[in-house]
Amino acid sequence: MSVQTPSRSSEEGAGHRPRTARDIAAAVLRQPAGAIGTVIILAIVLIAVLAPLIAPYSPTATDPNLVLSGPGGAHPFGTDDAGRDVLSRLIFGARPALMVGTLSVLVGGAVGIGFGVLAGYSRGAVESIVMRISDVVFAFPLVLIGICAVIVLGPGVLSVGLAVGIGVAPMFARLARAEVLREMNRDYVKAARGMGGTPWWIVLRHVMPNIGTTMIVQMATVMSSAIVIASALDFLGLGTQPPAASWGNMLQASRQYLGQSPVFAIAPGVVLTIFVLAVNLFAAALTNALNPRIRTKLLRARGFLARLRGQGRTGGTPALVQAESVTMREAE
Amino acid sequence: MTRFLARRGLQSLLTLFVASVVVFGLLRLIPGDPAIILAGADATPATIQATRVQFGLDRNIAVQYWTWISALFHGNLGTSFSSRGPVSELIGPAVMPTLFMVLGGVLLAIVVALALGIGAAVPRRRGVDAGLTAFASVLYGAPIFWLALLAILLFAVELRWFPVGGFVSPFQDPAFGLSSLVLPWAVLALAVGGSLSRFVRAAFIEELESDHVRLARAKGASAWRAIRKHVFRNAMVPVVTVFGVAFATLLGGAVVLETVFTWPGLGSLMINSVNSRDYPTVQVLLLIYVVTFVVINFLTDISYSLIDPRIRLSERA
Repeated sequence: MSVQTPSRSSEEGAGHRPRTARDIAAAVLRQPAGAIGTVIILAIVLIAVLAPLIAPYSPTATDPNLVLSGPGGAHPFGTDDAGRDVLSRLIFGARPALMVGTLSVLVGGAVGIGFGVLAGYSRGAVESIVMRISDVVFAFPLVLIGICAVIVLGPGVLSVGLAVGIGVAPMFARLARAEVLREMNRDYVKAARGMGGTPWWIVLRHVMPNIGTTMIVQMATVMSSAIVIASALDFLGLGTQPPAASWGNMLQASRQYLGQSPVFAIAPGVVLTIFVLAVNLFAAALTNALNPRIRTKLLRARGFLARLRGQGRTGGTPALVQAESVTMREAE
Repeated sequence: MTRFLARRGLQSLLTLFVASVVVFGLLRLIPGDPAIILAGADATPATIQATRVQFGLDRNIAVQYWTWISALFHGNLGTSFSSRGPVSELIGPAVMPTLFMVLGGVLLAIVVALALGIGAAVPRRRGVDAGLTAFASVLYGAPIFWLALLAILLFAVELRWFPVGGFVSPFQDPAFGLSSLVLPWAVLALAVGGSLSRFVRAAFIEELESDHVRLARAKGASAWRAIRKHVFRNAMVPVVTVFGVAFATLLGGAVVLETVFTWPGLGSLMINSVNSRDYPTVQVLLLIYVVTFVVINFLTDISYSLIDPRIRLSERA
């Protein structure tokens, strides 16, 4: 008797992990939301990295003769109140947005997951203290945490990133604690403890891999709120300082000239909104792709292009297991 | 219930205490001598020495905290660096504009969230649901201050229906006062209400599909009666929690909106004070926001335990 899943058999021996990673990526891209989100995010990352090559002007070069010129001609999006090219500033503005978003999710994830796992693993007094602190941090609106960070560290990308990171850490801590509590009751963790595994070993080898996907989904979800709140702090003048460009501080500058140059106020907001929506779409698609059941369904369904070519007419409902040449014999 | 209240009350007090320590500690974390920071940028050595004695900066940090917090409790909010007058004189007139904006905004946001959420959940028509969901997710993505800028651009600069910004109390000048409130309220209601509607929708769909609602319908209850008697109360538990969280988001959002609408409220005062390094004012404002926030959380806890007795009963275990 032999049961095999035809598409997998050839690669089964090549190790499990790379296969899963590739499956997840494929499952993200199979969803329209995931594909759109990924393309936009990649485009913005590329733009941020290649900013000096793409931007038609220096983001800080002023032209006193061309202040608040409308869109058209040499400046597709016009110029700002100091005669700087709005398009070039939009392109360079991708840098602080990405930096702050990444920094805050990394800080928040590291601090939050660290303390959450600690609380969930050790229980007792440590747990109460950690969760109480997390409640207190949660009690501060993010804007206020940003203000506190700016008071101590001065305005800038770093303080905004740290502030938003600390602000979102409780979201990770609560989730991580709940997940750890659930894992601790699983038989394999009990077995590992019974065999005398040290706390570090159990957490790193057994608990973390199992709560990892949930945490990654949370990171993607938190990323978009981090970007929005960071741009709000920029807008309030607490983040990236002019003349350096960020989408938030461009909106702040445009506020006084709504009548003369509406494009100056519309463009940074459009870019920011598209970026946030793309991150949300990507996060939703990633959530689906990390769920093994949905992932299998996504991968079994024929791709959009294949269906266009008329190759998708193989079967109705996707099968959970496919078997070829199964022989069954009645028991004697 | 008393036990539940006492427990939650104690937790809130603890949160407040820690928050006040953080707000107090901020000034000690700024690099430099706190006496110079507290005395202001252009202080003479004599003033610096006076400040050091006044705030007890030469003494134990716990004593310093006690001096500070007991002065606050006695109504002495300190002296502003920028106005050189008492902080209370700056804060007093800023309370009313913020209250108008936030309370009105919250009420409208709740109305919008319930209307959009129930409207998407109840009729079970895919078109309506998909349309409202898409609308909500775009609102969720767009930063609130940008929506406000767009609203100003369209309705104040182009169409000239409403003022660009500023606030006049509707008690003094009803016509102008109300017209200045329209844009901030509309933006808060749409942005906050829109993103909340997703939670309302999810909660109502879950309840509508539950067995007890199906049973009620099978026994001949009208759709309206089923929603009123069987869905509403259950669906409100998660909804009230989300509203509580949203109130906080909205308090933060209002700080930004006040800047957009040049609103003479607490939020603008806070940002101006941060920029002019007027630390005593910033400290008091931070405390006001945190106290408001903790009180709202406490009320949220109480209200959902009133809606769902299981929550307060389970706490006893």
